[in-house]
Amino acid sequence: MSLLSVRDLSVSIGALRPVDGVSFELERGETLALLGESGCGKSMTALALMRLLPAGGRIAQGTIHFADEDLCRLTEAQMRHVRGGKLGMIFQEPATSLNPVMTVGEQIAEALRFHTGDTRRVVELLAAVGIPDPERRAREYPFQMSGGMKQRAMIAMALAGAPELLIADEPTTALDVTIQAQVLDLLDGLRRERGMAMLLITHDLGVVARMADHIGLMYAGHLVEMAPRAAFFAAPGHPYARRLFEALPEMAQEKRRLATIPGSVPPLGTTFTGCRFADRCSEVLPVCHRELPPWREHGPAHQVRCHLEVRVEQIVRKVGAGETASVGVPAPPPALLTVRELKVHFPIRRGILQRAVGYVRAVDGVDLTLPAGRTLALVGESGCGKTTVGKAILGLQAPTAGEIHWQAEKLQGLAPERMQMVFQDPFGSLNPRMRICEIVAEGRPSVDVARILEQVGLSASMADRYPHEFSGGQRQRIAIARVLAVAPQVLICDEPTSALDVSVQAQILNLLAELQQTLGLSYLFITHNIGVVNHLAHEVAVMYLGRIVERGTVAEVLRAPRHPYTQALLAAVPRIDGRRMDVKVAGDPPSPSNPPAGCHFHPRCPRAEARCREAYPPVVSVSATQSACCFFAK
Amino acid sequence: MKFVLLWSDALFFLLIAAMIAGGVWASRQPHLRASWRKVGQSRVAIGSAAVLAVFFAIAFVDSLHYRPQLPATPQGEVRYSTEVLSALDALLLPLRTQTEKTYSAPLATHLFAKETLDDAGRDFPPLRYPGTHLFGTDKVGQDVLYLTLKSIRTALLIGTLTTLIMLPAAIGLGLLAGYVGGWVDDVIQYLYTTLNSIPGVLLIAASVLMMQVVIDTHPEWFATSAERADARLLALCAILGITSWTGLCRLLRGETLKLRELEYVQAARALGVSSALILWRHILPNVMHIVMIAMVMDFSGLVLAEAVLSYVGIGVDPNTISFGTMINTARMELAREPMVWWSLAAAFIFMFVLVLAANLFADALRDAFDPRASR
Repeated sequence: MSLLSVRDLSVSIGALRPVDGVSFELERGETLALLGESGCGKSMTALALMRLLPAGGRIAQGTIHFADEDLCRLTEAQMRHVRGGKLGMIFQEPATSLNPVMTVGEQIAEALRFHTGDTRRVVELLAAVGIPDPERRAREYPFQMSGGMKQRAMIAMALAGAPELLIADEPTTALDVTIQAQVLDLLDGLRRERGMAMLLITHDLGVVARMADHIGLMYAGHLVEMAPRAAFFAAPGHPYARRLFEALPEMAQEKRRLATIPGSVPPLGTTFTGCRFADRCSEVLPVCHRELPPWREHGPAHQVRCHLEVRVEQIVRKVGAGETASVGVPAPPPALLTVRELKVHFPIRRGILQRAVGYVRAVDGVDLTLPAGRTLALVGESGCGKTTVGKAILGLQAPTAGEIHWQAEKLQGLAPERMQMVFQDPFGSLNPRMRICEIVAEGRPSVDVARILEQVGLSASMADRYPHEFSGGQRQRIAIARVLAVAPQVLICDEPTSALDVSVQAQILNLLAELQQTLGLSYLFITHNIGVVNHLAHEVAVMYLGRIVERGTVAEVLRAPRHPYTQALLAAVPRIDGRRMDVKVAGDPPSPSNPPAGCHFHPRCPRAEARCREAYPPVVSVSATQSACCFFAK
Repeated sequence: MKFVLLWSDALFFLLIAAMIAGGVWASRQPHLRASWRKVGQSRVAIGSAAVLAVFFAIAFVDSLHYRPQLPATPQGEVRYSTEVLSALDALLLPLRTQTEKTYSAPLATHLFAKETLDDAGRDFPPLRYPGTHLFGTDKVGQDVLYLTLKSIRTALLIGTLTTLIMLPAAIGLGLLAGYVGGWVDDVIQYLYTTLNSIPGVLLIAASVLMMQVVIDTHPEWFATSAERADARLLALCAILGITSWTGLCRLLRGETLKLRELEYVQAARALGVSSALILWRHILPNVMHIVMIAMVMDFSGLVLAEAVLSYVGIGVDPNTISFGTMINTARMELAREPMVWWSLAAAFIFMFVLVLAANLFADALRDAFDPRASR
């Protein structure tokens, strides 16, 4: 008998069916990953298991058996003991999951009191999740902790009732890669130690490859594929799964067009007759639109819900499929934009007279060169100052020191005709009260809106609509249309795809590559996604705590990193081939208001020596194009 | 008959003209027309709009002032009464003239208190116009329904004019403080913190008393007592407006601080759009829901504030009929035994309907004009 057995589970919210007939089993000690893009019903499935559905939501049909107990039949009072006691849950956003006015220790004690009556184990739990100095940390408030620390504290709370099943809903999506790697290691270790089962909800194929034993792929409220990990990554059966792999930038051969899935996940409330993926499927058969496909055996313990009969042997995963419009790598043209010794310091003001008592050194001496028609990726974790660099170059943020040159001319303030910015959040970057035509024409009222919209792959008939009617990917296209209207030569892209699903991300990356080819645009691409860098960029600069620690061409930096931080960063990225590198980095990034003396990375560096603590290392040239700020770079 | 245009009349007409012009302009814009159609489809919106329209119509008719012609003198000289009447008075002639001796309950046939009658000792004397007073009569025998209808104009004037005086200051300063920041923000914050820290009634009382002295020392400015009362009403609106912008201003400053950091504002700055245009296009439309809610809440608050101020004796001119003066007199009536409740009840019902209709209508407007809420 499985620990958890879900049969034909459906959730309804009013007339909507976010989860529709989902069945799966989970054994003790195993990890099942529910994989899917946003809006596919993965989180709703998890909330249904906990019976924590949002207002108006209810379990319309199906059963949830947990250790021979039907969870759907329990009273609310009995359910309280199951939650936390038998099923623990971790949420995505550690910042909002903890009460800001209670100490972390009190919050864990609260969970302990309810489930075990023994509140003395707080320190023990904090130590178990790898929080250093747990006695002191238990007395601290959430704001005194970093994001990774808070997520560890959340895990400690979930462990308080010694659950048999841990549900982790996107547990590392809000965290940086190095911290993500630490938290994933922790979760995996705890699962093994305590023999827990784990239900992992994620959209990240890399995390799945790293963590899961079994995989359930969800699409529009349905499970469409169930497979063991190895089988899934070797020979995905469902066309949706295959397209997801092809859309991954890290899978594509460099500088080729990514395969895309047209359109986006259908909105909740769509009525389906046939296969839910039929409208976006490239291998669609006439029967797909008429009949719901049945479950088919695809391999051992590997089931696929698809009409198309494909044998495992027939699938050769086409890495980097799609049209092969090569972008090409010409010799670097002369620099268009040069940044020298850029510094942005924010004063920390205290006291009645608001005197500056210190400075947050967000950007502390950055040099960059951006040639025409090329892409420079600026890589780093959150808080390293990469967005501030972008804003300072653009002129939105006044630099404290340093110079920005446009060819030979020194730039001061905004240069809207030359440089523009594409922002991260497609929902915050468009004014909800302006129509698309007004948004696109904002920078240059005389522009031909219809032509620009078609240039970014939208139809001219959309001009009179409001932004809320569009999906995330379409909104990002509108944001790109808005900056194209002023015909700039440099685009600063601040994580333009990090809020998008994989299939939509591929569409936007292709669009950017296409625009670079046709218009000769230069991109300063600010990102933390190594896969995107690999696919799109020509050169890379890695930033840590306000300074660039390594730079070079993509091939050099990603294949042969010289700086320990770059090595750790690359090792921390979960890879979908499941391979793992052994460079681990401990701890959290230090605060830019009080950077460590000497090399900023030395407290976390495995190779740190005495000289690293004393002086900031000089720039060491490794090749004509690659250099790193490290004593060991040679 | 000689027309009289009081200052408040002129402003009220201007307000209505602006509303009509705005409506005509909005109906020419295709995307706004769609929103208005949505307002039209909501039953609540149409119902509350109808009620508001009735209130505004009454106030409008009540704003057409004139001085009736007196009977010609033997010399044939044309003279006008010093009493300023309105078209509403003419329409409600029976209500205005059919007065009783003193209190009578709603639709009563006899007076409320016993009196010594000539023939048969003490008893309730019969009314002159039995069964015609829907809301009874007040102490001096005036019809309460007539008083409430006359109060509507005062309430609407105080509600709308004060809001109009307050809005530009609140919106302008709030957006400026939030968007520009720096010393501008400091000055504006200092200003409203100072204003806020003085007890409101005290500040208003001081201003009203000063204004009263000015009016009393210049009797030659006013031809009739109606003009004097009108000047006092306007001054009260101005004073209330000057003292009540701080709350909304603070709200808008906070909201602007938040909006300023949003990416669409940053994108507009990067496109080289001027600050004034950013405030107009990006910030203002996105704080309008706050302005709308605050306006409706303030509207009811101001109608009530007028009552409080009249109670302290610094409200409208005692000759002006208003909900405030009615509630003020009701205080004494409620203390009587047996209680006289109908003045208060009438004022309450009318104020309640007015404020409720304004709230519901503003709600419906906000829903219809929010592009995110539309399906």
